[in-house]
Amino acid sequence: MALIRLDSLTKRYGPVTALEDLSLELEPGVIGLVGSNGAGKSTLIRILLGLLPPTQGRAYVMDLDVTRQGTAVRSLVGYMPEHDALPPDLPATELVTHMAELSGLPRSAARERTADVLRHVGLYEERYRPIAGYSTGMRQRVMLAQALVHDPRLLLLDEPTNGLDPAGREDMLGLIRRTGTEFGIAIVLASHLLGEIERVCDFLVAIEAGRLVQAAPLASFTGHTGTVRIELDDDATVVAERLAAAGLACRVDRRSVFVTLTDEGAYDTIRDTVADLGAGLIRVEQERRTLEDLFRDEPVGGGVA
Amino acid sequence: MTPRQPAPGGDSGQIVAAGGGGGSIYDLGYRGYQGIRLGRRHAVASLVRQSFRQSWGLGRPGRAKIIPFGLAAIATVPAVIALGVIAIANQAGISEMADATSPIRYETYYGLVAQVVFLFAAAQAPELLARDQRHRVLALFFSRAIRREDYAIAKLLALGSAMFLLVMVPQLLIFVGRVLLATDIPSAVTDELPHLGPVLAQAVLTAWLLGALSLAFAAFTPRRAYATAAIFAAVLVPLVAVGAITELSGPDLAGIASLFSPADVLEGTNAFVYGHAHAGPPGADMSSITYVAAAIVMTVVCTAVLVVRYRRVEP
Repeated sequence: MALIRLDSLTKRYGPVTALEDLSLELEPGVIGLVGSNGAGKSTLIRILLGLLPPTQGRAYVMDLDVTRQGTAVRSLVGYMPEHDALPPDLPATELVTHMAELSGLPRSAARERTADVLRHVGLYEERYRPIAGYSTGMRQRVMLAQALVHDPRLLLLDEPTNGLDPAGREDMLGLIRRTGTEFGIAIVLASHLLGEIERVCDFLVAIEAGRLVQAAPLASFTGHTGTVRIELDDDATVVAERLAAAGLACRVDRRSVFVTLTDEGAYDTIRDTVADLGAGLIRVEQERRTLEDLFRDEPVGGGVA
Repeated sequence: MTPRQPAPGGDSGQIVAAGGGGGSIYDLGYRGYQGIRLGRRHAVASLVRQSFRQSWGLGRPGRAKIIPFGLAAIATVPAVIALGVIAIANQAGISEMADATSPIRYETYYGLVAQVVFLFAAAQAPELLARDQRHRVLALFFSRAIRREDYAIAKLLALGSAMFLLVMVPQLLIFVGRVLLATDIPSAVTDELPHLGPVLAQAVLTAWLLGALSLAFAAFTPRRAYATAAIFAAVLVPLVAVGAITELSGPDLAGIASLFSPADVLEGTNAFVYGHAHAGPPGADMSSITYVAAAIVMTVVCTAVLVVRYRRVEP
């Protein structure tokens, strides 16, 4: 059973196209949804919740049609909006209990789950005080708690680290990672920060301007590229010329030479060349791809996971 | 749906021994929920209950209770006076005369507390809606196992029942008081019971009409003060206008204008439920049932506006 299935999903706001012909099938896991601001991440999440009707196409969450079975979908999904959505006059415990009941939990179960979940996100004595007095970090924890309180099968987190300082960000990402891996809750984490996605997710969906750029396991993006970087303590042009003369494809970037590996013998050539020239070698390393590379590439249309 | 695998170390509850002889820290971790899920009906019922409590300021700091309970106290004053008069009259043996001349009866009670009921609606309807819009809490509500219209209807049920109580409780006090103070209790019950029908009918109409009207206005602004001002205007401007039209162009036009004035309409329905064939501004030849029709139309329109607003609002 697919966690999420999109069939040529399109969403337009008047003349503006937010999502364009998105087709995708995702299996449960910790899924990163990455794209710059305005790429359509929030729109996609809201459609998955049945909060926004799609203009064209269909979306399914756990085989439930989000437009026709919105209530059923929402009872299985927890949502953390990108903006602060907390009433200042209520204590966290009251808000979260109320939200649990609105997801169908009986009152006593709602109270019990609230206590569990608030402890899980790290809110203790302060949960009985009105939210108005909370720090940003505490507010984000309350938002995560209300999304988790009914034990959903899927968490939709829209920019959960918004406004957090680096330490708070680390805490929040750790919490999300734990929730996804240890507790078996599928997660879609929308973020414009690639670093966050890399740290937490094991599958990545990239969208740009409403179109699908990539959807694949994260490892396939960040694996080895087949390029070796040679960093020197001085200008690298001479080394590069010698390597090129030895038959290696290479490129110079100030003090570094990037060599495309063809076979293991290339390492020997590099070693010998550097030694011959007596160049000051700082390091030789296999280049790893980073997610940023993804957005330098041309968009590929209609990739399927 | 495949059953979830128990999470390693998460569900089972690890025991982490704290160093030194002291105790142990039990890290229960995250636990799943395997209990029953009651679905949409339960969700809506809990939203109604929560909103009802909110409309009386229950579970909130004391200042949230001042307005609703203050107004409820004011609405109850005429009932307490009426009961006092009955008790004294009974002592003095002039109960027949006091009964005939008392200005406080079921029929007049609506007129006595109308302003209080209206103030309650103007103050508490924004209380129920403004916060969720202003702080964008709607996003949390709408992502639950309810529909958007459920939210609107739940708020109406909550405010409506709060206002129903506001109108009913004082009159029930009179009812109980009159029965208990009577010399012949069984016959007093038989005498008083027929009054309950009109009392209930008027209370339901008042609660539903003013509840829907005030919520329909409050739904359009996240600012509580604006909402209250708009509700005041919606009730007072037509009321004053009907008076002015009566003065300026006579009772015929005023009669028609009064059908658009919530306060006049409810006065008309009050006349109807107590068996008066005619109602409306002095001199206007309006049949009282017209006001019942006007009240129903007004209520339905306001409820529809409220529901449509919440279907469209961006959470």
